[in-house]
Amino acid sequence: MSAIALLGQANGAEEDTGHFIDQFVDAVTAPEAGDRVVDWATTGIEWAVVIALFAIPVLMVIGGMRTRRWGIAGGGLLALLAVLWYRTRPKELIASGQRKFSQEGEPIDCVNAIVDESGELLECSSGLVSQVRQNTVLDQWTIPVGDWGEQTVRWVENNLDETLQVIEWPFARLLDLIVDQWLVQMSWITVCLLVFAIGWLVRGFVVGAMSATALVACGLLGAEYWVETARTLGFIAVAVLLCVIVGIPIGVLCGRVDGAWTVVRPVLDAMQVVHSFVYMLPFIYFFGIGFVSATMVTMTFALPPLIRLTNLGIRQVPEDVVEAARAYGAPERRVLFDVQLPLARPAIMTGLNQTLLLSISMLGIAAIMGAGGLGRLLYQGIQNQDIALGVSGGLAFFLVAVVLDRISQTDADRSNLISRIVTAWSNRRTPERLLEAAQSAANEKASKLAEEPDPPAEEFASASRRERISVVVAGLGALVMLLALLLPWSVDAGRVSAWARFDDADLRTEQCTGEWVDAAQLDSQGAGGGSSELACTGETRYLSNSFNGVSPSGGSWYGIFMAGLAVSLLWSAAMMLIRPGQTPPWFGPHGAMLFASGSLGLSLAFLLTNPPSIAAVHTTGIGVWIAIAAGLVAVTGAVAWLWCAPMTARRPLSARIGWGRLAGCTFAVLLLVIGIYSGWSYDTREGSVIGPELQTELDALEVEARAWARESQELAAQAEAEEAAGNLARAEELRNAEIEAKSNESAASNEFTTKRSEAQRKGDVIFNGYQSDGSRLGIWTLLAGLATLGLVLPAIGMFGIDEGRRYRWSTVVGGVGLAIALAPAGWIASISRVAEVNFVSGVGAVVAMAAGATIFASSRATLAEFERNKVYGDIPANAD
Amino acid sequence: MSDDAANGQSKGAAADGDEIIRLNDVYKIFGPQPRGRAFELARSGVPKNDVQRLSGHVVGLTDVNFSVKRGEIFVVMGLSGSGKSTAIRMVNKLYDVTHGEVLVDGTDVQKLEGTDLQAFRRQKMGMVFQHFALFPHRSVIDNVGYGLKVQRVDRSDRNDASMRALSLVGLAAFADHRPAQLSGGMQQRVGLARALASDPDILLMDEAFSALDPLIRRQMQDEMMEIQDEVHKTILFITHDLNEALRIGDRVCIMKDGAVVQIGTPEEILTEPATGYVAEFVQDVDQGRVIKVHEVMTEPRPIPADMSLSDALTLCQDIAGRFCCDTDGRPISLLTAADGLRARSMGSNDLAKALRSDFDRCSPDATLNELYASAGRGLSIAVVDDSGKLIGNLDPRLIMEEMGRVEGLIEGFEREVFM
Repeated sequence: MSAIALLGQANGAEEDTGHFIDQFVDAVTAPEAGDRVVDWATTGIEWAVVIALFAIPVLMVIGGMRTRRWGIAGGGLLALLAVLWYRTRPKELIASGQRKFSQEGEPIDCVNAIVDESGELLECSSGLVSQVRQNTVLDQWTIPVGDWGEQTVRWVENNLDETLQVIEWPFARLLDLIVDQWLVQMSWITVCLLVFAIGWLVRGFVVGAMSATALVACGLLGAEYWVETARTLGFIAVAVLLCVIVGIPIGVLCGRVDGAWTVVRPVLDAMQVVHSFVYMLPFIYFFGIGFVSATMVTMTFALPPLIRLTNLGIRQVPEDVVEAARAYGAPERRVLFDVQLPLARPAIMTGLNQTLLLSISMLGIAAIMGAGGLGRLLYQGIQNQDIALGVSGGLAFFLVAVVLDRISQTDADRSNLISRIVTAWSNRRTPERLLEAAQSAANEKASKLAEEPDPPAEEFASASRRERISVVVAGLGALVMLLALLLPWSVDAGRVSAWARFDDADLRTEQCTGEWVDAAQLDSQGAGGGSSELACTGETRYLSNSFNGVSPSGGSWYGIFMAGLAVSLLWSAAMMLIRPGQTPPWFGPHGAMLFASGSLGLSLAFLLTNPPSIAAVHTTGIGVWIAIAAGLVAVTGAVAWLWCAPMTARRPLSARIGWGRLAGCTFAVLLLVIGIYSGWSYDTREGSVIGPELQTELDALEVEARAWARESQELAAQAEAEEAAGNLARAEELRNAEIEAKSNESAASNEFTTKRSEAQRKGDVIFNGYQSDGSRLGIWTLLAGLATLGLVLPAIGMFGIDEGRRYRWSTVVGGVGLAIALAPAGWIASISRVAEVNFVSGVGAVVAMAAGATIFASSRATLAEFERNKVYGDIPANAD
Repeated sequence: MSDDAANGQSKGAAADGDEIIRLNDVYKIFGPQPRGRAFELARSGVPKNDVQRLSGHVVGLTDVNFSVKRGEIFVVMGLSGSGKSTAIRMVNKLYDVTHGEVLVDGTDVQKLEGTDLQAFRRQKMGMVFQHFALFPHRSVIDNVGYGLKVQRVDRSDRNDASMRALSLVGLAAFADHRPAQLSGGMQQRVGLARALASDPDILLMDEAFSALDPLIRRQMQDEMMEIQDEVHKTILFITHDLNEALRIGDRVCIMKDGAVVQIGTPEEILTEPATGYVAEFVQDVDQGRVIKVHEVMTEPRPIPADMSLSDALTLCQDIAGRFCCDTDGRPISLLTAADGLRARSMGSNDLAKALRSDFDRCSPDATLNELYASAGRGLSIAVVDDSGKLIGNLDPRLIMEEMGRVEGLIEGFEREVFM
């Protein structure tokens, strides 16, 4: 009624006269009125549809079974009828496509036109006017979700700006505080110590130490990597912290209130089903790119397992224990904090670990979303194909992930990080399964503990006098080896480092009796090509310089490896004297023999490595000789120790001759033969690639280029002079000559560059394992390998299958194998240490290393069986 | 402890006999709408299964009425699903009633809320659970002291009280262990100590010994009885084991499908089962362990020492033997018909020559199973009181007769049930 009255008013505005009934009749019969009625009707239908659609769920929620059925049927029927009625209404005609119309006598072109039933043009539009009534849902059968979404987003943007800021605040504030003001500002040593402390408190000393070590590695990569590492750590910390703040209370609520769980559960399902790329967009739209929205997306992804597992943990607490707390008058708060949360702790911790792992797996997405951190470095590395950036960033990324995971993981699960992330991923919708696994593992552990009987009183056989003496000898040898590292190993040049670094070929100090002057001044006849070397006006003398076994210039990794082995040997000997047998088995007599022969092998390898021909001034330092002598002493001590130590196999060794081991050693020798024919060093450095012939050629080209340059300069000067004199024709001639000289110069220098780079590209200098001007390590490893073929015969039982004999000779074979493996390992590491990209160690070294490892491995299984005898009560040890 | 125990004892002793717990018309329906159709159905007497089928609701209790007297052990016995555990949880409002009232010391427990309810639970009752329900993350002493902790008792006082309760159950040495380090029996002792620590009036024991091995269970029952002699609590004990119920209960309430079937002393339950359901239960019980001597024994009617043998023999005709007593009424010798006849056939009429003194004595509270060996000798057994006076004469044949009677009664009920 009111609408009609309004209509009446609207029409009545034009002609104010007349009875209101007339006005009403006019209004109703006016042509526009029909349109309006149709409008109202369609609007009404829309409302009816909407109401019907809403009525169904409402009735379903509030009603009983009968009401629900009627609600669904009635609402559906109503909607169907309304839609059918609407569809049967005649529409105004639509004419689309290029057509000509006439309007008020004038022809007019319309792409899309609205015409009435007689074909009269009502409206002409250049846009897409496809429907008159413009009801997308009912006219076109399409749902414009995108438009609705856009409208909503606009509305939120316009009206809820403050709300968005409030939501953003804790994220931004925490990130600012923890990441920018705290972690990034701290020195990396502090962070490492902090992580060590946390790891120690949470998981134990070993985990703490390993985590700190891993982070130290990240710190040593350099400041640019450390900053990103700290950002990543902080980012994960903030994301996990917020997950905990949000997730655990929600999980607790869900665990205690069934209604909350019925609401939260579908939300969690949605969060986990929808891909992060989908919900990434609104976050970016509302909060911009960067850390804040990345944290939000990470939380969306990583939160559900925590909520699920907290909920499960609370629900899993035995009902009677909760009842017990209530029965003794505990208020609900105490029930929660005294009983439910402590008993749900394993579940919550599992959830926390899952959250952490999933956060780590989101670092890539976070990088794409513009958050910094290691993910960004990797992203950059991929985009710029920057291998160094990718490798260092990847290493740091990996280490951070391992550290975080190890600190947060529960005791039960000991599999590696990758499989854990895979498990976390595959179980992210059913994290409950993980808890089951953790619990069964814990139960198994508990039952094992319960079953284990008390061990009888036992101690390891004490050392005999002879054994003590040999241990002391071996220990002294190790000590002297360590001290020998501080004495000169290389004199005047780096024996190994000179291979990869020209600077190390001559490390003597030059001394001048006169004065150092610019070489260009002294050499006035010289080419004058801008050389800035210093030259001595008097006599040049050289002062000898020496370098110890571990020094960076002139040093090698042989000494560092040897130091490690010598320390291990020293430790074995010391522990043997203090508490015989109470060390891990590999620090017993056979371990000592391996360490001694390994370190002797390394010092010998240093001596036997042939210095490069350019390091002609190199002499061997006294330290090497002392180290070798001490190594021999240590080996003697270790052998004596080995021969008198009371060791027995835990299980009887097989009573047959181990032909397989002989075959293994033979195979290793074959590998060594391959090794000497393979390259041990690949050299593409300019200085090596350009041989004397090419050098002369290049020199000639250089001289030519310089000559042309000088001539062009002279010509230019002459031309200027002629110009000044007014002799323009002559000047022109000179100019032309100058241009020609310049082009000749550039041709010469081009040829120079081309020849040089071509040489570098094609002619790498390769030395194999036996060449007299190579390192010649291949020959020595092969000789040692052939020796093992003899040594392995008693070890496999060819001369009697006495277990003690096989054990001792196996140890000897293992020691030689270790030495064979370590020599090329030292070579590879020493070359890498210099970090010259154009000089790399070769495949021959790797093959030799594999051969040594094969020989060692052939003995390892036998050695692992042996341990020191034990004494039970008064029964004396069977001293072998 | 001595003071507290003395107080408790005197208080308990003084008030023995009055009602401390009372359940009036209690109904409990489990489900989303307990007060709806399901309740109406249950109230009109529809069986539990039908209510469940018709309304989708589970009936926990229907029309439960019982009262527990102060200082007694009241046992509620029933199979699983009979509502016994639901009933005990009504008493401390772990569950809410659907209808009815639960009075403890005159307070309607079900009307209590919040801090009142918590204070009530703290002061009035301790609860022991079937699976012990100890807090695994707390030490034994902290478990025992939990009730006091929520009452905000000082740590030192709390530990003192806990140690007293622990020494009562013999576990003082294990105070610092974790519950998981103890055996099942020991864990349940900790549970018992936890209930005793705050010295409540009422102990609620929900199948307290059901999870234990039979031997440990007996031992625990004996121990509980000993402790009860010392502390005199009111104990509401739930069990599914009739032997246990009859052994420890002062009164037993048998429940089936949420309803009370019979309430009575163990002997009443055994000798006068109210329905076939009870009888069915009772048939597996060793009656000898429940029936006590005083129910079977006959009047002693001792023979005066100066009576002649032939006169005495007429008194002995239908009984295994009669006793002669001294001046204090203590039995000193026994005349059996066989001995008398033998003596008379030898021509003597002197009573003294026919008497024998190798008879057995027992107390009126002994159960019949303790007397099987004595009964096997065929001689009458003298029933004597604490001072040694003869108060009854137990003919061995009567033992068999009584057990046969009970067995016949039960079989009669069985026929009633199955036909």
